[in-house]
Amino acid sequence: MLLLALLACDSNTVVDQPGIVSNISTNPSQELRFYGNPSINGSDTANYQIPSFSFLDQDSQIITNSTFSDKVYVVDFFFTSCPTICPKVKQQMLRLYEKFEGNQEVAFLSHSIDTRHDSVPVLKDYANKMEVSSDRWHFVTGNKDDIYEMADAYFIVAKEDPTAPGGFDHSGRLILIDKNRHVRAHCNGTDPEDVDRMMADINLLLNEK
Amino acid sequence: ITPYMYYRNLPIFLLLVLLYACQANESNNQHQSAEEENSGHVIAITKDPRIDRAKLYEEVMNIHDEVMPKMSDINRIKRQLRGMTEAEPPLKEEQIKKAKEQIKALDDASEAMMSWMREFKQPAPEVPQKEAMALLVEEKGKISKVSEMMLQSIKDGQELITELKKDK
Repeated sequence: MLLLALLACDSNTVVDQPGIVSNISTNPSQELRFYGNPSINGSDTANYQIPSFSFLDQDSQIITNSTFSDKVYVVDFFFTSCPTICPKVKQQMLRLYEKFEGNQEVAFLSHSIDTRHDSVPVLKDYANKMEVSSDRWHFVTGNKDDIYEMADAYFIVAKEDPTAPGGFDHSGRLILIDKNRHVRAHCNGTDPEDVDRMMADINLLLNEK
Repeated sequence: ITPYMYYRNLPIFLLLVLLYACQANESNNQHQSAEEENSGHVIAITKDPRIDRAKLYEEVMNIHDEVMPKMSDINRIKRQLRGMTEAEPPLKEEQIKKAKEQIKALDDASEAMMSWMREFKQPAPEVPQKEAMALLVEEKGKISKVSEMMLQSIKDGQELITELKKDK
């Protein structure tokens, strides 16, 4: 019985190789759902897409949707002086960042909700402390209303999933976007096991045709 | 009952009375110290100061957690009001003035929350109990006021939107 249990556990093991997660317990042909209401244009049905955005990152680079063309990216909302939740989430995002080190198709987008305090130099300092490359992880600020509008767009997951928070906040939820601006998954960024699941989801999207 | 039985049980009886008296006295002291240390703010007191501190911190965070999601509601109402002030046909001057005042109130409420979050620090374990508890009581008061401000601004904002829509 013990042996069977051990074997069962093993089939769910996430192999610790950079860039690749294998032996995931989910069906390999599983497709991640598309969040949001599809729009119908005549006979065409298009899945919900993230609207256009334009923000400034820690290097004063203008970051828009085209920054993430052909990339899968992870989104969160935070602020630099957040004392409790945000540091935990950043730790988990760092795990994701390191897992996909060297993979140019995976990027990270952290929006500050404290646009008054989190200026470009503050974000630069924050990013430097985390020792992450601004090519792959963008910490952005901008017009406060624009940031909140984007939060509404990404948090479309909350409307469809009872496990997601009811409103946008710095609760630590991470949202996963595919290469075509579709919202495909989310997880609790303070929960390492849930973040493990997002690692598998990222791989699913990278392998998607 | 024989005198022998009485004398045999007396020590036990006295011990029990003594123990009860000690316990009652201790809990009275604790209750008094809670009242004294926190200026009448009655909070649960256990024998473990770390639990008391953790519970009070949790109370503070619960108030924050309940209203934090409403930051997006505040922003949405604000954007809606702003849209109404810019729409055609234009609103009356007095209506635009009301809308702008409410937009400011919503902004102020949202900034009050951001400001509280920026400043709030959980007392470090080495901070003495009396000081830590007083700090947390103060923070609970502050975040309660922020919460009130946020909820009021949402309520007033929604009412104004309804009023402005009716007048069209």
